[in-house]
Amino acid sequence: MSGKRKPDLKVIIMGDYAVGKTSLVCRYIEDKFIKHEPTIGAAFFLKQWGPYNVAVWDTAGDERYTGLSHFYCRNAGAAILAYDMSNPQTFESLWARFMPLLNSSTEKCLKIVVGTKMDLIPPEERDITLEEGRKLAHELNEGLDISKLACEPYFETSSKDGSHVSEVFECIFQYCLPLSGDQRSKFGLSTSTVDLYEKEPKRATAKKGCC
Amino acid sequence: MTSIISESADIHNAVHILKRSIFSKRSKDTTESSAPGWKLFGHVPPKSSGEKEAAQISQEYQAKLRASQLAPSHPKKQDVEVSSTTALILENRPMNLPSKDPEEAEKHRLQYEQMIECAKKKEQREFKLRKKQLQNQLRQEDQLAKSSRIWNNEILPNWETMRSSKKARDLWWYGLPPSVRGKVWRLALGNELNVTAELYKICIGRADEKIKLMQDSESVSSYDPSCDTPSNKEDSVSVIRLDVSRTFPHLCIFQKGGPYHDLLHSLLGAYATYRPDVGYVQGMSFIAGILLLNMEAADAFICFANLLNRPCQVTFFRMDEAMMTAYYKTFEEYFKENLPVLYDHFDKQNLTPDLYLIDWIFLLYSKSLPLDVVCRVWDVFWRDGEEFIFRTALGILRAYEKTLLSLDFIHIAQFLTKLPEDVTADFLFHNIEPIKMTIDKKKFSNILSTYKDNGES
Repeated sequence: MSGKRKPDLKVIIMGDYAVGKTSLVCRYIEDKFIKHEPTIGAAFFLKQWGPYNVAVWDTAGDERYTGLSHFYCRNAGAAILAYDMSNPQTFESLWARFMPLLNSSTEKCLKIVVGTKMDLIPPEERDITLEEGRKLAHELNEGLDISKLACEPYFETSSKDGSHVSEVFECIFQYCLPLSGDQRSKFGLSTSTVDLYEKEPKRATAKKGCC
Repeated sequence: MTSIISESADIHNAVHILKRSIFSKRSKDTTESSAPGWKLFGHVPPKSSGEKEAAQISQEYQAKLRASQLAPSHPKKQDVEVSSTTALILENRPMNLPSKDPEEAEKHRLQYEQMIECAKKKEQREFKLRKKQLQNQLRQEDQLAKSSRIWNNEILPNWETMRSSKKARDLWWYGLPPSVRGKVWRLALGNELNVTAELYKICIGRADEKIKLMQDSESVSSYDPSCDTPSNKEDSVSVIRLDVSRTFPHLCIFQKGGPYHDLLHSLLGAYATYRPDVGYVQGMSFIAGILLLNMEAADAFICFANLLNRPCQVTFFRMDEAMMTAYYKTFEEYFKENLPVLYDHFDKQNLTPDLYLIDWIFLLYSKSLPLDVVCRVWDVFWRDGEEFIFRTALGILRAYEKTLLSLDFIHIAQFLTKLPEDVTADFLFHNIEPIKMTIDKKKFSNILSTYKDNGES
């Protein structure tokens, strides 16, 4: 249908190998959770969001492919930096590997930090706290006006059970591709905004419940 | 060792034959039991009613059928194939209901005959198709047997003199028989590095030690970021562990508990200890997997080490960006020469070849094409060398040119990084064949070296 149109937004996903980058995109776009082969180079996904076309570039995680990332980052409107919540080393990689990369190639690019595999780690065993995650996310976005961002640039997700996955993308799209209320209802999108703060107390009670 | 692929094909055939014989037996049974008024649809009529007539009709039909089937060459077989239509029997109304008006009965009889005729025609059509498929299969098997005889008796014993003969090269193009595939790959690749089976054993031993050491230290101190930075190549061990089970997941043989899990794990671990400077790069597991499917583990290691030592593989696995660009530029030149219209389209879209070539070059198509097609591509890759990687790429672009011309940047990128799953070897090779790899008498290596020099100066 819109085969000839240029995408209105490019979102790139980066992060260490096997943190679940492809799983995150697939959960959002196909609403499926399956085992993926490692990505070599990049894989491409498309999402129609309201009147807009969004291209999602899913990149290879292996450190050896870092050399290609400059090229992949070009003209990205937003970057999802994914780390595996059950593996603190992958969080370190975001500092060590990807921050320098993004700083040099794209200034105006919105950066969203996303923790994955939330289902794998019990809250009391996690190494990276919510505060640390948010701190990194804010530092990454220094020099960018994120006051109109409807949510914190930090999410904790599980592609396995689907929690908070679509919120990540919705948050990015709302920031980069603003829609009027009319447009939103025309395309059948929810009008409520997502806020991680709001969900916080809910999760805390859930925690109490299971322990 | 015969390859897994051929074995599974054999099993498939066996199952197929088994099924066929079961079905044909079953349909024969129905023929026999259909004689005393057996019918497929409707209630079983009251015992005495209409049985005689039904039997008569069916017998008449059988007689007719037999008469019409005397002509074909395999009357017996066809009899079995078509007999199932006779299970549908026209019956008069049971005695306890008023009988049909003669006109109506005649109409029904005609409809019945038409139905039977259609069913018969359909079955004959299907039978012909099956026969054709079987003949094709037999012909392919014959060809395969013939070609493996030639490989075993003529070419392999005189490898050095025969390998570049026209006969060998022509045979090669149509695919190596699975029984000699591993042997030919190994010979064609050679062993420049003089890797031996003993060396492989030593490397496995060292890799095992290292893994044990890591596991021990893991259990003592849970996590120490200082010695475990992502840039550390020792990290290979954990990536390997992860990737082995992500290799060809649909085959279920490399996964934990599968027959090739340990073999693949050892091979990759051994390579990381053999070449610590290269280590493990994601994607290697696919290449090693294909080798393991076609030869013994030690041979697979020898091939793996030598393959990764080839110029194109060295360039990409070490991310030598200047050389990578030279390869892309060379490819683009052939692209422009062979498919000018599509080249313009890609150019207008600003779609550079690195987007789709990376995956293809790194993995030698092992993730992008069906496994049997991959083996066919590899066959000729050993014959023609690295230029065949790029020729295959152009073959793919040619095969889907029409589709690609109607797509924009992101859709092309999406299409090429996830090719249709139904691509067959014949279809692909039919499209590779017309791709010319000489431009103004300049060969691939000539053009590559000009770009290489340009990059350096």
